[in-house]
Amino acid sequence: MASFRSSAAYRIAVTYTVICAWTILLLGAGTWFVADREIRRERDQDITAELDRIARGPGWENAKAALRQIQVERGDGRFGYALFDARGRQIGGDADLPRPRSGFESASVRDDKGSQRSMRIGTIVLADGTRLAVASDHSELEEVKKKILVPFLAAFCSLLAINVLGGLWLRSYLLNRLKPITATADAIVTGDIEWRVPVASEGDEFDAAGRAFNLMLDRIAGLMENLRQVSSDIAHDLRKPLIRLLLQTDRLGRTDGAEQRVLELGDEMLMLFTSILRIAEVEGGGLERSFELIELSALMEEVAESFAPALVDSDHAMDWIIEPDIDIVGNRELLAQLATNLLDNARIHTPAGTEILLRLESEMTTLRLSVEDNGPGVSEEERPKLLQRFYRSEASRTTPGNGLGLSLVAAVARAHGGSVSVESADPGLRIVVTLPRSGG
Amino acid sequence: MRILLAEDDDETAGHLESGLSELGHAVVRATDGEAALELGISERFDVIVLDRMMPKREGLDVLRRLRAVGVGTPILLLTAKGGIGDRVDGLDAGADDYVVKPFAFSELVARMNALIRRAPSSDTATRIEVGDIVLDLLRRTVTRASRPIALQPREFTLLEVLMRNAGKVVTRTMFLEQVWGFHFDPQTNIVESHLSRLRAKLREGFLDDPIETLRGLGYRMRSDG
Repeated sequence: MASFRSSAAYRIAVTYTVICAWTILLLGAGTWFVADREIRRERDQDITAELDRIARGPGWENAKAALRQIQVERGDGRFGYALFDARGRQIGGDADLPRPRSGFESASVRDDKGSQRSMRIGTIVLADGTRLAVASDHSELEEVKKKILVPFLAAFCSLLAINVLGGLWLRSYLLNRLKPITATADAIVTGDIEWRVPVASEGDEFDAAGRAFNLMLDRIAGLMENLRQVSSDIAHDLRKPLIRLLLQTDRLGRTDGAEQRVLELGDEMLMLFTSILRIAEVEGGGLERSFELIELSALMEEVAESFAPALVDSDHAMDWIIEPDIDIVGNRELLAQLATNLLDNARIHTPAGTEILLRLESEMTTLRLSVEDNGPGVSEEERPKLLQRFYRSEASRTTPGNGLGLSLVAAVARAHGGSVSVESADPGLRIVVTLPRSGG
Repeated sequence: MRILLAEDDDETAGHLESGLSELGHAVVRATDGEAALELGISERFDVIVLDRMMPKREGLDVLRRLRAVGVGTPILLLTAKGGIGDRVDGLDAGADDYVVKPFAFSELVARMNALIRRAPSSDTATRIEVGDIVLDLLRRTVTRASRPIALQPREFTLLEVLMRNAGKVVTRTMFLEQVWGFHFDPQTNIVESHLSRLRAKLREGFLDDPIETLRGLGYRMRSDG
């Protein structure tokens, strides 16, 4: 019983059965009553017609005449007749009837062969107080009613049987369909994160649920992989500065400037941690809480103007083309950091004399923010790797940086529903951030 | 200056305590949130340095309660959480400033000094005068010895920050936060580039530079002009 209550399949089957049974019962009872009434009405009309026929005959006004009339005209044999005097004694007729009241009634009557028959009896009172009763065999009505009830009862019973079987089948079907999902969850609980729900291509509701489940698992696996990657990156990439720091510490007091260098190395490591944490925060999701409507054009103008003097100081030429009045829903600080990282990147990895161009333009459904330079550029094989965490091209081994700047750009773009692509600007490099346009 | 230092980590607290004592400040230490709340309510301090993560009572909670009972002492929040939401939480709870751990001691001192100096009247003043330099906040003009100096908007804000903190150190991160609203550190020296242009404009036609560079610490506006 407990398993019955806890099984959704059984609950569905029972609910369905009850609804069907009620429908059949209502339909059956309705038909039964309507048929009963109709047949009776028809019979009563026949009896009325017979009574009329007899009564319209000559001398209908008294019992004797009626009796004669009955004996003369036997009718077509469908009816039985009886006459009762005013005191209620049967004084004639061929049917053995109980004394009827005036009007119509149903009665059970013993026939000549001694078996019970259901009769419909119509009675009128004649002028001399005798009652004339005409009875018609009514048992066929019972037959009809039985004939009506039988299919309904059969339907009801087979419905019960079908629903019980259906409930059992539904339960096993549901169990079967849910089993892969349960099995997948169990497998993942026991540590096999690679397991996925098998999904059929035609795709019913269960397949849709399975697909959603798999997407969720993919996302979780992605995050876990991300975490694993970050941990191993940290372990690997922090060794280098740590070793340098230890070497410098060893030289403290013996070499001039070692103290300053130790502090610098410490700062560098701190910045590395800050960058890693920032990327992890952005990639962790849930940033939407901090999103607001930002005048992106004004923000980019501000970043560009702020960078211009510094870029001039490092002998770069800086220009910007910013389409006015572009708004976006996002995190102001992260978008500012995205732009500064792009500009930092362009400045650090290009020689003096390079021209850097920041451009913001809107397209149909997207925004395009790009920073390009006319520096030496990056080879085609290396370009996609630029967005990888800690990736540093051979050419940039000696420049400052930790290989995380563009990773953050990519993470911020993704957090805003956008993407980053790295292109050749012939001859330089162009990094394009595509963001969805918000609003209209 | 009397400072309440609420920090549960002994090593960090020890460093801060000895550093601040060397600078001539009186430091009272609280090792947990309950003690910090009690001391903050019962005694008067010039500034409270409050760690966010403390035993018994969380820093943010201490902060809220102190503000709720009307303690108006400037509060500097220390935190290991540098997240985007965390900073807003701290400032919403009533902190005056926010320093993310780990931090340089000089940074903390500069920010503490800036907090104490922040007299309410100077926030609403429309004119700031330091030495022979006059900054008009309404007309957005700057004069030095009555000679007008044309500044870019960001240079103007930079100068305003320096003048409000005249005689005190302003660090690079303070500039980034107050002038640009950036809570991150671009690798490109946008602060230095703007400052060098500002200084060149202020110096032009004069013999001295009213702004000093303190290596490894930050910049300072000479309060005597």
